[in-house]
Amino acid sequence: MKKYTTEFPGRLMHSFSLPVLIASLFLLFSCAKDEAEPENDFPEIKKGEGVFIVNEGNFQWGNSSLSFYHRESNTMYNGLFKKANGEDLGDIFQSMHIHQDHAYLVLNNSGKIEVIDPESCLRTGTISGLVSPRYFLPVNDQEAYVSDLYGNHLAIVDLEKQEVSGEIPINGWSEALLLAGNKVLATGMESGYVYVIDPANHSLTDSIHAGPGPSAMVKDKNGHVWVLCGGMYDVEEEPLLLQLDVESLEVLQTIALPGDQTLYSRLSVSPDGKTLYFSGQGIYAFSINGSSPEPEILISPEGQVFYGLKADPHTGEIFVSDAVDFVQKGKVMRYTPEGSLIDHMEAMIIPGDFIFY
Amino acid sequence: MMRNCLVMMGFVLFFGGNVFAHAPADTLITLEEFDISAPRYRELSTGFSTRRIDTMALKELSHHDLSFLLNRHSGMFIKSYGPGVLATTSMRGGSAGQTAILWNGISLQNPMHNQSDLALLPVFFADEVSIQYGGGSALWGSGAMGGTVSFNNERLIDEGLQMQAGLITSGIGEFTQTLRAQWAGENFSTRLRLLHRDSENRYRFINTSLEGRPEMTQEHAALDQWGLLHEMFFRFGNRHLLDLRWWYQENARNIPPALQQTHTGARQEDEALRISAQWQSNFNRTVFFWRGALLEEKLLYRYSLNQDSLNQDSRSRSGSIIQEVEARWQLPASLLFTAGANFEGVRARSDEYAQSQSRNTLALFASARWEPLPGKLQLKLNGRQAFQENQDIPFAPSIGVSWKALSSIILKANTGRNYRLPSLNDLYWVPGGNPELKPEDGWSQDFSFNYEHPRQKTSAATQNHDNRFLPVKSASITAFHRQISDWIIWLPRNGGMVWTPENVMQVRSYGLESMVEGSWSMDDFSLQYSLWWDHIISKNTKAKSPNDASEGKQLIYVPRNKAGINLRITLNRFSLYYHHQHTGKRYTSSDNSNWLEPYFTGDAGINWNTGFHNRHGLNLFANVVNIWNRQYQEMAGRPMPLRFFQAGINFEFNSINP
Repeated sequence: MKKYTTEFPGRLMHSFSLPVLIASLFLLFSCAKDEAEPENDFPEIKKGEGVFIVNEGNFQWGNSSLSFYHRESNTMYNGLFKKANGEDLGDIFQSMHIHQDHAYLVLNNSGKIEVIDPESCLRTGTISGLVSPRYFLPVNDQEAYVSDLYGNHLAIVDLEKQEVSGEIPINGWSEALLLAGNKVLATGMESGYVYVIDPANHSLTDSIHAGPGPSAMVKDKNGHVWVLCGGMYDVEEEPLLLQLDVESLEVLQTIALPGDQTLYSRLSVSPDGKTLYFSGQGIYAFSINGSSPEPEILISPEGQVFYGLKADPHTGEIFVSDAVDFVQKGKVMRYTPEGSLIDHMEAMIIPGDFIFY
Repeated sequence: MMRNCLVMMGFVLFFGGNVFAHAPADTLITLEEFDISAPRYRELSTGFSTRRIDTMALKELSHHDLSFLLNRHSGMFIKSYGPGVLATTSMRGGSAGQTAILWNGISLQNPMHNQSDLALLPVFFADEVSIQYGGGSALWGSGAMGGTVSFNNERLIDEGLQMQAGLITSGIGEFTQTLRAQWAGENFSTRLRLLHRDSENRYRFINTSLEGRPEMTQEHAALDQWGLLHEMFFRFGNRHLLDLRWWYQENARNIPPALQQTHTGARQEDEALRISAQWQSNFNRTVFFWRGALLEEKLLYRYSLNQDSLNQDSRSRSGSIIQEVEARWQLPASLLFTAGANFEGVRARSDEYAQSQSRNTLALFASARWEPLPGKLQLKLNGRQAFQENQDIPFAPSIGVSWKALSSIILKANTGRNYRLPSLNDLYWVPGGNPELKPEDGWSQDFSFNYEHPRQKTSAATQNHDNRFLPVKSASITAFHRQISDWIIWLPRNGGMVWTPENVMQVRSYGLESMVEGSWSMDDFSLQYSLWWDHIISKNTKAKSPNDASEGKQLIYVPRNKAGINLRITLNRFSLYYHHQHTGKRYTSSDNSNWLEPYFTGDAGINWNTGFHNRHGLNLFANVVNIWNRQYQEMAGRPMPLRFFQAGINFEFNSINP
């Protein structure tokens, strides 16, 4: 039988030396390598085949990115801009708009708009010199408007030259933009107004008081505009949905939203223009036919924090994102128009918007 | 990476071959000394692993800030946004608010955000910097969860007048002037330090976000800093001592934009006034302390996107009053008993609060140290209970043991409960502040093995330059484990529109901290080295929501490994240093899908010292920061400088022979 010594550590210290022990431990732990996970190859992007996902990224971390979900193959492709152009996209990817074979990618905290070819994702230009751009909307064949968080104006962009050609003064934070007939509507997040602009001469022609924090607008099947006034944390007014007649600029109706410390955001409309979806403590649906007097929860959150929301204009499926803790890959969920989960997939950091192509 | 490991391994094997061959067993190393009047940060740490940064390093890096020193001389991860810009710490996988920064025992953590910006603490203002690893709430109260960094000033011992003036310039447009004047008599001594730093801070960096990774120059990081630290030490008879200190500092900094921000004119102005006093009365078997401090901090953050559009100012101001009494009794049977009370009154106002806020904390603390086997075995029991009007605060006990197992080996063990109170911003920020927050709360355990070469102490006393090769002068290895629940993080609520802090994370951390020091001296030549390596696993152990993929994953911005070598060669009047440090991967996403690559940096410097008239001194130095010109980021989107040079001169005048 072997005899064990009890003289540890004295006796043992003579048989091996501490530095060797430390060095071995060092090798053991520090040379282990994490392998980068394999990325999908660059997808073949064709019209009608999928949806672009705007991954906002973290403020000042420069980790925003563009993803594409290919419907047929049920595959998510991430980091497309970097793969195509070899550069990072920018800081806070706020929104994206596709117009005449160009995709305009609005980078809020980089003060720029990257213009890419939506199929190759190769850059065709950069519109710089913006202050804190939010949303982009072409208003005719030559020009587009860009709303702005801090700029106190809407920027006018010359689409041909890809540069800022002027501005329309608007007090405070301008947010959602919508083209309705020959008018452009822009919401003022802090003022609570909807501003009416004539794009022929870029003049502010009218304004309508809407409600607290008007953040999104959509058109319904009758061509009326719905404005989501989702509430502001420092404004007492109750959040509401407002229906507007574009011609007369009359408020047709307002729908009060439950205001128990809940803020509402995102507004989307079903392909038939009859149902509105928006996000609060869950995803709400509201039928404009008046079949139900108030919005109802279509998808309950069950611990998730819903962030992005949009209904697929082709299929009517509802795309919803959960940014989780905002510092990990966000999840994108696909629901049927009735609110049952079809599947879910991983996008990148803070998936905020969906652009169906 | 692999090559680094091999180099390190080779280095260790070379020196480690026959470590204990010539270790005579007749000399002794000692436990923490039984000095009843020692400062509390030194006296109470039985069972803790502590590390004092070598005073030569303080001299060599005296024109840098504390973040630079800690980054080069410890395994602590420093989250720096660039030289002179915001820098905070992560110890043992904790958050910035979980490291206590103490100035002579007074916490410098700002009560509004529970953090302290290390970039604003000049090394020139410290006589001693030491690190206590592990939770210290039983000693220091809230905040000391990962460890404690002490930034200390020592009482003057040298007699007479001494003056020192220094001038530093660097390739990034820095001009720094320092002045130190001190006079010490029998019953009164005083020391004044002045620092002025004016830096364009135009450092070169690699823009990794652009194609081809172009080299660029930082154009918006200029800083202007001046500070004054004045100390007065009085002695009344043989029993009473009074220390008075005041420290005023102003800093104005341009905040450099993140890599992908095209324009920013952000600027930050900090102003701090700190006044402290300590009265100490020594009686035969009793020592009595009174300490008082007044801390005022003002901050102006000016965020502007371009010159002609908007300027958004955010102002905040906080003040603290601290009063502490403490008594120590030396009882028979090698028993030392300490008890005291601490009051802290804090008030703060900010543009981001609805109204100004205040918070009063009263804490009672006691500890007992017992040496059942004098010089061999020490036991330490600490306890602290704090009270606040609207907050339940846990009782924080800790128990520590130090055992001198062999003449050259000390084993230490320690366990304790630690907590961190929510900051005022966590509670009252508008929007999102959450007044319902509980303190972060947890337990930690440490075990450390410390070796010191038996001849180490005696040779220091005789100092007769015997030619000696001591490959391992001292060595230590510490293993720790820590569990924290109710960890506070800010999470988006209401569709991401409002962020709110919540007690949602549960974090388990464990790891090793190790260090080896050695030296070789021969006539006028000496070589000293230290080698350190920290290995830290810090994992979230609870999913925050159903889709959360961060469970079981390493926390963001906690490198698993950080290792370094500090070398110093002295030959006649010359000395040369080299620091090399390697920092492992830092995850930037909580599901560990994104990270910043590992990096290493090296710095080197040369000093030439001369004296004249046997008492005055002249010192010329030149340093290279980031000598290998490596591109690295400690924080995402915040590139650190490529190689740059510094040079300077120090003149020292002594009225009597030192």
